[in-house]
Amino acid sequence: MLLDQTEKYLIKNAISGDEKSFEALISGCHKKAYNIAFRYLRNEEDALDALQESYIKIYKYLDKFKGDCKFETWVYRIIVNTCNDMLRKNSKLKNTDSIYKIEDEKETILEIPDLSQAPEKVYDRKEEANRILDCLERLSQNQKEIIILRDIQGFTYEEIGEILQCTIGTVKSRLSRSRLKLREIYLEQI
Amino acid sequence: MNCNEMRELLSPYIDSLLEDEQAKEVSNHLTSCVSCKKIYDELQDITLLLNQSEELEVPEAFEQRLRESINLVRNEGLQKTGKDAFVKKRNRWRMASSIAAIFAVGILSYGVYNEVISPVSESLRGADQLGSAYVEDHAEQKESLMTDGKADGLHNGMLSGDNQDRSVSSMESNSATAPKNASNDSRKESLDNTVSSTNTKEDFEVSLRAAESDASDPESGSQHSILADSIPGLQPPIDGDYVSSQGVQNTTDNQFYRQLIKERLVRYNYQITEQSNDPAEEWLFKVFIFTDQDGNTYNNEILITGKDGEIHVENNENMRL
Repeated sequence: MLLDQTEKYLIKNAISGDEKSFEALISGCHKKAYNIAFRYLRNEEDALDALQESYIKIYKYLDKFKGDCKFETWVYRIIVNTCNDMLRKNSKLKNTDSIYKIEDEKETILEIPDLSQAPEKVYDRKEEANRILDCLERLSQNQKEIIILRDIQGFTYEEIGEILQCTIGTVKSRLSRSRLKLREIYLEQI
Repeated sequence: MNCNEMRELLSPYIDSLLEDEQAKEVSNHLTSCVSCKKIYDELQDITLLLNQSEELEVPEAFEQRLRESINLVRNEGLQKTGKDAFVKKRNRWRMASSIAAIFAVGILSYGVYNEVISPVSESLRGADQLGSAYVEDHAEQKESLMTDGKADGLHNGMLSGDNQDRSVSSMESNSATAPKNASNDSRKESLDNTVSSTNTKEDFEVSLRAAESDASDPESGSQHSILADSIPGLQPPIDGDYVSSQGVQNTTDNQFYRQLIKERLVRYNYQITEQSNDPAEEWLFKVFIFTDQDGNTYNNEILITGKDGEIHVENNENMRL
């Protein structure tokens, strides 16, 4: 494939020290990489730190890229790992139990808020989006990660599987659990 | 299918990833089950809100910041390998001189013990043979290293520190394994036993050969190869025309001036392409400057002279070093 050949050519030049080739390599995934980091870390400074750290790793270990996936997939993998490392250093996230938790055996839900009919509170769409992004923080790292990759960045299940180095089946079940959990947390906020 | 099982399928259903039959089952269930339908609507709404999150632009200042970090990493990689190799070589030279001293003492002791002078002169002749055998073998080895492409100038300079370490150490182990057919091993064996504190057998062998060949043949190529090892990625010049009239002392001077050059050119990516010295003890280095750490490209050759413990940069008008 022509794209693959270009990529290989750029990688070879970048390993030899050609800065322009390195810049061309990362320019294709630059914006997405930043947004992944930003959604992970929630502020510009941390996201840029993560991005820089990731690019330095990529630069240093460029000759170790095996070519078993697309180059940008490898970049996103490194971004995700770097962000996870930073999060692990900075904070520990807890799972919280929700009153909306669906039991296995019985379904005793105390109250079902109806989002479409809430006369006392008018939710601005943007405000809602921000609320949901806040709720992401209360997911586990694994859950947050897959929501960011699928629902915010729009990667396919296959791409997510390559980035996280897991099967599509795992992506499916993780995503399902994460979305359901996010829903619980979000409904508690209202 | 009960509601619990159904809820596990809502997520892939939202992403249209269910088989037709399963998708139909879910669809039918949702028309009749109010609570599952509610959960489905809420999940879909959340997913949609997340999908619509704004995609941010990368701040412009980041480009420059990244470029600076990459340059720093590249320079650190070059300097680290250079420094490590310099320290290694300096330590190896120190070891070589102590081994030479032990060797001399060993010879004298042997002679005194036997109370015969001729074994001493025979031993000295043997050392010469050992030295020249090494020079011969090492000349071949040097040639194969030069054509090997392992030390490939700028390219090696751009590699990570790991790669440079590997290429330096592979050159070292090549020279260590070269002269296996050296004659007159008795004194070498005793030295083997004596000097047990060397790092590796290879280190010792390189040092021994360096000491012996320096002592026996001042114009051997071995000094050059040791120097070549200390400069990461240095391609030994093809003519190999080094004049070293004072053996060990010249090695020290050369290393000293190279260190001064390194300090002077710390902001630059450079390579020493040629060096020579004259009997007046003045060293001349040809240095090719590629880029600096800000990313400016020069591709210019400068001359640096080293004399009386100082270096001086010639034709400096364009470079302003």
